[in-house]
Amino acid sequence: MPYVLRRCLLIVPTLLGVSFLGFALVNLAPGDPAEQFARRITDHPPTLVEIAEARERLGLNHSVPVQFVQWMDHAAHGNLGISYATRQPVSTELRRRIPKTLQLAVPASLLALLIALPLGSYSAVRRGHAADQVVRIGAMAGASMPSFWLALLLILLFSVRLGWLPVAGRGGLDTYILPTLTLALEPAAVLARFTRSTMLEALGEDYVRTAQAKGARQRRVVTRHALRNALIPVVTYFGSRLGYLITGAVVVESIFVWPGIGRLTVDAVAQRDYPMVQGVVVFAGLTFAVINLLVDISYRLVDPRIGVGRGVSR
Amino acid sequence: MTAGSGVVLPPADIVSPRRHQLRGVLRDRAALLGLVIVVVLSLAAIFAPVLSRHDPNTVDVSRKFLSPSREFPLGTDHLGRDVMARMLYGARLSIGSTLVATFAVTVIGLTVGLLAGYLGGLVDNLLSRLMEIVSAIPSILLALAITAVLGIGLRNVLIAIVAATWPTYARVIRGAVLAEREKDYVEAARAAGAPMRRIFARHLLPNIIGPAMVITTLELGIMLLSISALSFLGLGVRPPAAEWGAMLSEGRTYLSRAPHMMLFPGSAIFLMVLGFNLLGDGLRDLIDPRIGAASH
Repeated sequence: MPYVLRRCLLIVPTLLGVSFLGFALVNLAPGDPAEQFARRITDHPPTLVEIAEARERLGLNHSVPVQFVQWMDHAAHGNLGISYATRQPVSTELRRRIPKTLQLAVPASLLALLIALPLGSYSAVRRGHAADQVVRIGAMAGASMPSFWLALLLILLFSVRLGWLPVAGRGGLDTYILPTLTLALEPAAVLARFTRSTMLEALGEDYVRTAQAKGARQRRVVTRHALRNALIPVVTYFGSRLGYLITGAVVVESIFVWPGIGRLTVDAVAQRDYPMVQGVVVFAGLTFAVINLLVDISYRLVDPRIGVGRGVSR
Repeated sequence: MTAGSGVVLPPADIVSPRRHQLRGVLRDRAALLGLVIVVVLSLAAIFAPVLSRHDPNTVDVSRKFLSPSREFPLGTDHLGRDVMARMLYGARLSIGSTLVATFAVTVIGLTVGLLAGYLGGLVDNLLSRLMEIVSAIPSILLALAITAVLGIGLRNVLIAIVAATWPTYARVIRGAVLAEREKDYVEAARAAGAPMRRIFARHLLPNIIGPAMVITTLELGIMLLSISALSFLGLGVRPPAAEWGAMLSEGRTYLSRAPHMMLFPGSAIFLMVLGFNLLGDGLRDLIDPRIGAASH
């Protein structure tokens, strides 16, 4: 438990830093934030009184450190400011978009695991054979594929030419297929490469050789002994990819007109909606920090030696 | 620390490491393919004016959306411009900006990584926290946010990408320095009273160059992908400048009418990234099979 506590405390400086980064972004943006706010929030050019009111409302009369503390205080209470574009609270918009991003990120990451684990382990077991070569080349190509091009190729084939699937938008189940496929390819390729190398390492370990020497079947050796141990770094790595999928599906969401966090970010950047950009940055930092925390803790809990012991005794 | 890798590099003063690496890359067929792709596309960029038969920016709507032909080997776009010429000139902008961004990341990453790893203590602590904070936000998202502040344009996109991605590089270098620093020969040099500058230049740097070369090569692919992605989103070059990501974005609008408009720039980005990755992978296998997981 002390470890868990220590690890939890470690994310505090990161979160503070990310918040400061988000805070600084808006303050570094060109122009007077009060004037910007007044201009965006009203429909006419703002009067001096309105600008002064905005300054008061945003707390810009105070010194920068005080502003940061105030901003942190608000953020801690879930108040991330008002969007310039929608004039709604940033947190409301984030809460509306997050589930939609998750609806793509979760199936995509599961699909990636489903592709990568078997292919990566098979490739390791058949090291040097034709199957290994095919998997390696495929994984290399997959990792080099720009997601935005893959998306266009899939749309061209399945939507334009064959007419099987919708071009874009979020609706029935068929609208999920192309974005999920696009999102899954890169992590699948990278994970397959990673699985292969950790499997190769595990297959060279003493306990695997022992299992082989005592006459265990190859299949059993691979699944029971090697894969179990290779899985731990793979899962750790998977955790970090999941963070990227949740926060980084920027291009794919934008191509498929998917109303998630990624598209929200692109729109906010295009409209110079600084509070929204700030909100997304803080959300992403928080998500990442929490996912890393969970991965680290679970890594600690799943002691690799326990896994092997159980595998052998059964 | 030595995993049963079987790759043992000779000491730097017996065989020139660069010659050793070059020979190794030539033996590795995948890495060789990567090298060929990178060289061919780079040559295409360099000789763009010689190789293109048309001006990349000449608009002629009477010949728009032409399919590939003898006159226009890659067809024409929605404004009747020669896609071949735009691809060649686009290579200059895409590869050129990739090189600039990668160079910047390499310089920053090396400096910060060496400083943090070698000095340790408070400096290391502060720099490491900074790296943690910056890499706590996905780089594409952070790059987007920075572009929002700086404004649209290729130069700003490059600044944003460099600012968002340097920690990955610095972290690997820091790790390599830490591993190297603990070794006996550095210990011995320090005990013998060698000045810090000498230890840095004679002992640490030569052993960092290998991993640095690998990450720099892999970084090239990541940079090209990031720059293309932001250009694709319309944040990079302004029209009519030809750049692969921006061309792909234009091609997207005419997906059904003129698919060649997106097929060629997309293949170019894919091929070039593949080339960088194959080359980087080959170098890594040669230098140290273990740094791979950390660098991605």
